[in-house]
Amino acid sequence: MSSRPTPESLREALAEISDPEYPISIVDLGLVRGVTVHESTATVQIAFCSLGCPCIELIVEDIEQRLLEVPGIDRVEVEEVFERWTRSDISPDGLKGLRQIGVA
Amino acid sequence: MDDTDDTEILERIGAGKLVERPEHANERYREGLKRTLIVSGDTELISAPSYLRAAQHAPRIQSYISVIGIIQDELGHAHIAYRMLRDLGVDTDALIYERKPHEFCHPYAFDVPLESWHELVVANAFYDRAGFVLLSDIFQHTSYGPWKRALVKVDREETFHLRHGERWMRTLAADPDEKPSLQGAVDWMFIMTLEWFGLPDRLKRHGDQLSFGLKGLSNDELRQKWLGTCVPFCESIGIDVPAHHDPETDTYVIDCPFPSEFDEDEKRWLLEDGPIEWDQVLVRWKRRGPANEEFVRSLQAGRRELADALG
Amino acid sequence: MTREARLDPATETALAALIVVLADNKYFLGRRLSEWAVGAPTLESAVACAALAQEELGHTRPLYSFLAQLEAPGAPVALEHDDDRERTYCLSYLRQRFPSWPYAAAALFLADTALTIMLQGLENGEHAVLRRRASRLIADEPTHAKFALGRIRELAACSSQPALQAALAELLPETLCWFGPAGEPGVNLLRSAGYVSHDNEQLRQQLLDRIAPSLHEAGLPIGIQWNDHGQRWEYPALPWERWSSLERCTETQARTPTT
Repeated sequence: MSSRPTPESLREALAEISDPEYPISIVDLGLVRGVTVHESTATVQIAFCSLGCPCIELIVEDIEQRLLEVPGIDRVEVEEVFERWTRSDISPDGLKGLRQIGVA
Repeated sequence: MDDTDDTEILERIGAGKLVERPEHANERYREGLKRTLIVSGDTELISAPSYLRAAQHAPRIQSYISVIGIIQDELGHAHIAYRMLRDLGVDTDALIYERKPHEFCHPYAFDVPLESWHELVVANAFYDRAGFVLLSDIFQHTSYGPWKRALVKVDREETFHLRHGERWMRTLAADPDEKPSLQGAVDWMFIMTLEWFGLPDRLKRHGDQLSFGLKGLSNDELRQKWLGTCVPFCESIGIDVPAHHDPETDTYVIDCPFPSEFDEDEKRWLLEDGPIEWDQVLVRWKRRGPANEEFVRSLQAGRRELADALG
Repeated sequence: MTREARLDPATETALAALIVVLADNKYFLGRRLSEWAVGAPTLESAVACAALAQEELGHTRPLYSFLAQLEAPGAPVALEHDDDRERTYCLSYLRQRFPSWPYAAAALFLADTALTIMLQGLENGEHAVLRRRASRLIADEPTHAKFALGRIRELAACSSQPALQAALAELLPETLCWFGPAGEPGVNLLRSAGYVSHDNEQLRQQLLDRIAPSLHEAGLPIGIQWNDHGQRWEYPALPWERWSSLERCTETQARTPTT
């Protein structure tokens, strides 16, 4: 029997989702702004690099799919927060990944 | 460089060196490179009107934004190819804005209009996959340095297009109401993409293209590569395609008459009439498809208007 | 709204009306721009139109989601398609395909600038959530404005100048009307709540501040004069008789179906 999902365990799951264009995770990219669990519902707060980002549907569906695989989660809400995203939101690991493919 | 002798350029390529500037190659190399770049640029460019027209069927505004993003990428890729052509001395303004529709060098597939969201996402999953296979081959094997470097970005963006197509196909395939239309789109577009890779190796001499390092794999090898990811994907979402993997030879076998005649009005392959010769396919390609004129004209519209204003 | 005290119903209605106007205009501007991803006179312009279209369309999300959170009774739903609603609240010239490239440049230049000025009014206002959202949208605007002005200058200097000037002359009156007549009750409510920083005429003057010098410089006379004495831009009489204060557009074309 697995333990109940926590924001930390959900964050780990989110760290497995890579951005549709860049091979770094959405967590390292700095898109994930908050994770909460209430009973079996996970809520993810997310900001996108740009309001006009063409990958938004893909990212949202990736999040929903991945978190629904977590035992104990049967509902996922992705809530866009309209915070600004800048390069400084990328984690050191993320920057390393981007440098490796020559875009940072 | 001596334009009549290939020895020097072939030695350079043979030694694994890249051609960094047009003047480092001879005329035959440059002409071959130009032809390859025109096909690539035209293919990226013509996808824009095709996708834009089909985007009108987007189920939500966010899906529409995704397609506009894809179109922006395709235009950017076309721009890369045309910019290199300009460096090779081609008048790219004339190339893009003054050629007649039938003079464009994109595959026939793009002359057949996409008329639903289903067809659009299958195009992302099939056509963009074909583009991805062809460009990856060029990325890995091209002897032309400027192109190799430019393709890093192209490769990454085509990955997004492919994922967009696959994601939507998966979603539509899982919906009993949508699946038949999706299957209908796949039925004509799968064979259309097979045809895209061109004449089989037994009929086609790749001569210059391969020896000059403009491409690495033959038509049949590229077609196999496409089948190698496309067929398993379609099988995984319960969509039927007329090809299967043969474990004996570890290749994909096409399970329908190929090539065959295509009914442009019905968007249907006349498989019941059996296979045709590639010569007949070439006749159809040369005649161009139903939306060829509309698409090229729409690309040239703004420029023509300015030219008219000049009187 | 979480961090804001519940608004009185009349102010709430006025706020909802303003937000839906901004969102619908962005929606249709985005749609129109996207159509020039094919057919712009250069590949660079086509790429830019595609990029700007995504942003304009993306800008509708923070606005429509704000509208939904307001929970104002009868508030319009977010547009996903042009015909999702019986009524849309948008400049008439954004409702159908731009007929030419000079027209597209003029429409983008005017509508984009007008929208930015209205957003700046919210950014300077006191509604915390709106301030943040407006400022996020405004951050994208310099690129849009630069592209639009670049095309205006380019077209003004070539044989398309007459077509451009005709388009500007056609579109400017409606754009000036868009801020509304002086003393609109809804705007007065929003101003007294502190959510909008300026009145309609001040916003209209800001638009002219932003566009008139550039147009003069580009040799495009549009009948706008600076009145040194009154410290304001003088413009010809506006077609208020055709103005729909509800849909925020001039009525002649308001019902033209979109393609």
